[in-house]
Amino acid sequence: MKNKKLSQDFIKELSGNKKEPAWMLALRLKALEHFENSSLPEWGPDLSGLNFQDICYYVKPVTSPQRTWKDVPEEIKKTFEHLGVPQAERYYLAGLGAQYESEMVYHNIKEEWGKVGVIFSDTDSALKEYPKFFKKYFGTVVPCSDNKFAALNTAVWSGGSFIYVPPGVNVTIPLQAYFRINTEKMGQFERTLIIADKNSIVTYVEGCTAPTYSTASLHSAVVEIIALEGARVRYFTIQNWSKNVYNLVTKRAVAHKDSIVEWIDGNIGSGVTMKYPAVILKENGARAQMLSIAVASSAGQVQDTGGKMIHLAPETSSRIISKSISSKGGDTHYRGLVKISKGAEGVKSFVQCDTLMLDGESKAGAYPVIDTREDKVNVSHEATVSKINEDELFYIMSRGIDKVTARTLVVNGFIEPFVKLLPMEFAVEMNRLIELEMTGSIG
Amino acid sequence: MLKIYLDLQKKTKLNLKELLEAQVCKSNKALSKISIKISSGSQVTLIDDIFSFGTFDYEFILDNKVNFVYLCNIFSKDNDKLSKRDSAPDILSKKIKVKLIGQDSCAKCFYRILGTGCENYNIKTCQEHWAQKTESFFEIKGVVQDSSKIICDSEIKISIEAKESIANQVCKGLILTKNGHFIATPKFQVETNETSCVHGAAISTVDSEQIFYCQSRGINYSDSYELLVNSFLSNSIFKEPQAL
Repeated sequence: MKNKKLSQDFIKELSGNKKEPAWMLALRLKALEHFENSSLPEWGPDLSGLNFQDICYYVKPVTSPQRTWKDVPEEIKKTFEHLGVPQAERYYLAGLGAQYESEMVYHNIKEEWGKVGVIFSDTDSALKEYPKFFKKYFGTVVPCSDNKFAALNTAVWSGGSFIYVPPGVNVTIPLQAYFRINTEKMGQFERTLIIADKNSIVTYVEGCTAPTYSTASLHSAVVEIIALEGARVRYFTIQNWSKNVYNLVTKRAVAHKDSIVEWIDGNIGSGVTMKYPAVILKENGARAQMLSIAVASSAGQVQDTGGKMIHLAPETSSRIISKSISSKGGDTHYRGLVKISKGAEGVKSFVQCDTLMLDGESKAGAYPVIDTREDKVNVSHEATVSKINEDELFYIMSRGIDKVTARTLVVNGFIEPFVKLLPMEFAVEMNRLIELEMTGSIG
Repeated sequence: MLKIYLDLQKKTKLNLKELLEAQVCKSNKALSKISIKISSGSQVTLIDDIFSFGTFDYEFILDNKVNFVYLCNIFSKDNDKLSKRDSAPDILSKKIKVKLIGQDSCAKCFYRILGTGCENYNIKTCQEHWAQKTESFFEIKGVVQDSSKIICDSEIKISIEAKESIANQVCKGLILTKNGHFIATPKFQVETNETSCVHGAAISTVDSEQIFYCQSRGINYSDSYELLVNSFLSNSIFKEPQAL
């Protein structure tokens, strides 16, 4: 790339290199205008350490995504092998995508799922191969004018996953994408589009890591999910970026008639996270669930997470369960919205956010909004902040368990509603991650 | 800003309107923000029904071992809670902040709001804990009728010094009509783990099963409906009392 700084020329060059259609370039340029004309959010964590001119917007690791690991460059392959990604693919997954810097380096789906018409591809290739889906759905759930980071992503997006599940197909084992930032001052802007056609079922798992640098990196993804009539989409994220990464993502789903969308969101890493997955319950009978945990375990780390449920249709229901753990000077904040539009009769919504503060240096906050414009509804919200209950500790220790193990057990019990939804192999990994993050803060 | 200092060692019940009228006559100042400091050991119950006055910001500062109860009823005086009261403005904005700066102080605040017609209520509350072993319990209950709107913006702040404090805040809304609108934004910011902080919000309509239960006891539909709305407004989970 000749142009490095964010500008119209950079975007034209990026789009040209990717051989994109003219409408995508026009959309990128429009998004750039929105990005330049919009300001950073006035609420939430401090983003002053983020310098948009200092970020590398595109790093190309390979020429095109490979379908076998032996074709992936050795150095990149080693990184993913170290993370156990190819192993996981062999044993647990229906398909895998691996993104390194700005591009997907590997993308493959097991033959049996390809045969029944499931498409699992990197977004760049899918744009060329399946233009009808992109014209119909791309940018419809998260428009470029939505917020500054969605605008930035739309302007410079590269990589990400595209999934299409045909009507009636049940993808019984998960599809996974793994995102890795390796370069210093790197910005990763992947774009994920998932379309679950009528009565289909799909589970998608996303994992993220990066090495630690002293300078800030930016991860600003956009995820759009369309769950058509009767479909069910389950989206897992285990985010474990290093502490120098700003994780500012926009994730949103539209749920059509009788469909189910579930966000299961684990935020362990990154220095600053702003992530509020949303579901727009557009048609009758749609259901949505969001389960999230956020762990802030070092001074200056801010996990500003939450969820939004927008009820537009009658007889829709939603549930948000958010669990946060603050320790060693970390900040966790829940920010949420439940909105019930006029005419959305019979809506049921429940929000629960609990925070566990493990020491006196940490902070916690909850800022939910409930906006109801309909009478025949049932909406409730509850939030608590507490420390580890001494009675619970005493009970466990009286069974001969030492204090450190007892505290770990209580913490693991606190996040249990989240962990028990994870597939077994991820649940084990999650428990280990939490124990690792808690090292030194327990006992 | 009008500043009032209350030093009431005995258990005292005051009407805010009378208190302010006396203070306004004394000071001759225009009212916009009122700060009331309650001295150590005082036990004060304050009744607030001064809506004809307009929009106010109140700040209550509680010293050591103060026991403070604030009751705010925003509906008709003739005890018919479903009828529109007289002389109320269509837009009412009220901001109440309680600062617990003295150890062992306790604040209980109860709001009852009935929105009718095109009324628009904007209620802001803030519970600030600055000292150890302080307790605050806020309960806001609103009923929305016709095209009225209630916005409840409630905040709890617990500073790092406020160890062993307890903060509770509940916001409940009952929407009775299609065009009613209720917004609840309960928030908290906590800086210490030696605390118990809970907030909750619930919005619904009158439960049809409860109406059926009343009707099966021989009470007609409209009486059952009124009974349930009145009991919604009268009951409190924090058990404060009679004056409501």
